[in-house]
Amino acid sequence: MSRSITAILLASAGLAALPAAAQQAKPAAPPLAIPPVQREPLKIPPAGASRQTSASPPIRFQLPKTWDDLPPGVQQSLTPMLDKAPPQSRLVVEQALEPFAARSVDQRAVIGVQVVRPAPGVTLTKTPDDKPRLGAAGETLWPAVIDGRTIYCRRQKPAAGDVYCFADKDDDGRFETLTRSYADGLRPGSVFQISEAGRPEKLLAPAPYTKSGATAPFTELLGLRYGGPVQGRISPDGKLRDGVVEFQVVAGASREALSDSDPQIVQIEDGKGELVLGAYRVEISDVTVDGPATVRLISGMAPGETMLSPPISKADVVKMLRERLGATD
Amino acid sequence: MKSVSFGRAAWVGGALLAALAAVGGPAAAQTRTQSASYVILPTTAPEGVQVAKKGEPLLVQQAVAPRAARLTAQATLGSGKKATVFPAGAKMFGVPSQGGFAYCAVSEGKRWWSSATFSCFEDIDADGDFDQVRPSGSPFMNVALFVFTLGAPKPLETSVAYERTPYAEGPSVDFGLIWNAQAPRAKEGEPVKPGTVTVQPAFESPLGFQAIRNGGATRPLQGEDKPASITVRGSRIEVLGLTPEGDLRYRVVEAIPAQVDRVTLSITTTTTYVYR
Repeated sequence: MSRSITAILLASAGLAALPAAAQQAKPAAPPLAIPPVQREPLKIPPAGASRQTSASPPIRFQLPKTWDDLPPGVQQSLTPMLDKAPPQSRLVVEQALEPFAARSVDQRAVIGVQVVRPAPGVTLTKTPDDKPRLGAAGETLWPAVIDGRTIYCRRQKPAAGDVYCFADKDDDGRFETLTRSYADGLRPGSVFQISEAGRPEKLLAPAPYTKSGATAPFTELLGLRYGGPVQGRISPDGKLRDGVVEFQVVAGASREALSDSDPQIVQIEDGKGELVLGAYRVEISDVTVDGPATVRLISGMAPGETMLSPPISKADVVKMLRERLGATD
Repeated sequence: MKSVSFGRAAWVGGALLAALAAVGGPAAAQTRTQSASYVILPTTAPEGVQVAKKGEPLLVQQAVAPRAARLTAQATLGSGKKATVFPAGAKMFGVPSQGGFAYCAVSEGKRWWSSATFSCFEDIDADGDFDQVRPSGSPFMNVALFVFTLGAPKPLETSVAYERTPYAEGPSVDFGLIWNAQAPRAKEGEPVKPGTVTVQPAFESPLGFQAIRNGGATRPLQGEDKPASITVRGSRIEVLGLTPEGDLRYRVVEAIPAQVDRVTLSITTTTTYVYR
């Protein structure tokens, strides 16, 4: 999950007055002025309130260990955000990304890329609606996730043209709906990574398929780029102590042809910040306005089947809250 | 059928758009954003009471791109009468490109801040010489620094030497605080309604100062003895009132401190599919 979702969670839970979606730094001193290990009951304003008022007394609860430990009001605020993730294709990552120690990275430099291909998919057993442009029997479709539901997709031409995605809502081995989008519904630079949801339409007749586990024949690079500072006061030494920096997700056929997408905003506090995007964790410090920053890559996506931005679960929420509130486990 | 609506210029200092993108959007509409960063250079606040005439900014500072360079040799594009010359020493501002940064300049004889488009040079092999050039699209808001699109690259016949320079030495545009005031109003038999003053950040363009969306503030005008204190972008302005001519009397307590920020253009595409 992304720290941007973390920020929404925390803000909606009334835990902090955070810039919307700004990813939170992990400064040495917790910004909420809460001790690293909270032994006293926490004072949490009611869900939805960003400031405590006399009319809204604080909710008190211990540092949560499970979802059930959260007050009902906080649970209620967070529930609509569970199991949400941006539209995306399921991926297979071919190799691990080697973490690296803190080093100087210039703006627009690629921090790391991994070779990805579509996760195992399904095979059409009949041409949908007898329209060859929708696919042919024997064709492999790759899986993507939109609104928590898995759909299976194909390009109109090999690695080009419009994108057709099919859904089987009742899981009876037949697709009932079709979603079409132009190529700009894909992540820039990618030939198979869905980034936008289309509008589903009913097929004239259900289209049968088999769960073959076959893999669509695409391979490309996916990674992160350091974009540079985007907001904040400049200190006399030319550095950004408190502000916002940006990373971009990059994708493309080669390192020389990577396109930017999905800007990832990271809040810098006391000179430091951290990006968490799915399995990616990147620490950043010493941000200069027109030059490098010090960047440490802690992790990238693990090899195997995964998603860049997995849906957020109750356990993820509790973990993020504990981290944010200074739990040391 | 595919319709594209342009021009929702949202100036964002934070990441609301990223937040929205993170949780998905309407089914058949997609929003992509393009942005450009800029740096406001610090200056000393003018001393004493100031008067800004209607239409004049009340404070002007310089804004530059966060990246700058300078040609150390002359660059010539094309040949013969159609040749375009960029003299050695020409200042350039950086814009993000696929390979890193491109540095944009205008040719000899043109004023850089009023040029409709720029030539943006790239050093693909990072050897200290530019190897290719791209035309820029028209700058967003007509503000020279805001180049969002670069055209197709064209290799240079001869590579051209350049050097990075501190951003403060790059091409600059005026960044100002513009104002708008409403004088006190009174209807017969009713108490006088105090006037108000609105201060907004704005960029200079060939069309004059253009306000950017957020970051402005409106305060009531309560007379000389109760100056209206307005904070915009870290600057602090005390508005004393209006002259009989309607000009603004004010003091600059603190000028805009050095800061980096960006302007963002959101493009929303709505697609309607017809199943046949």
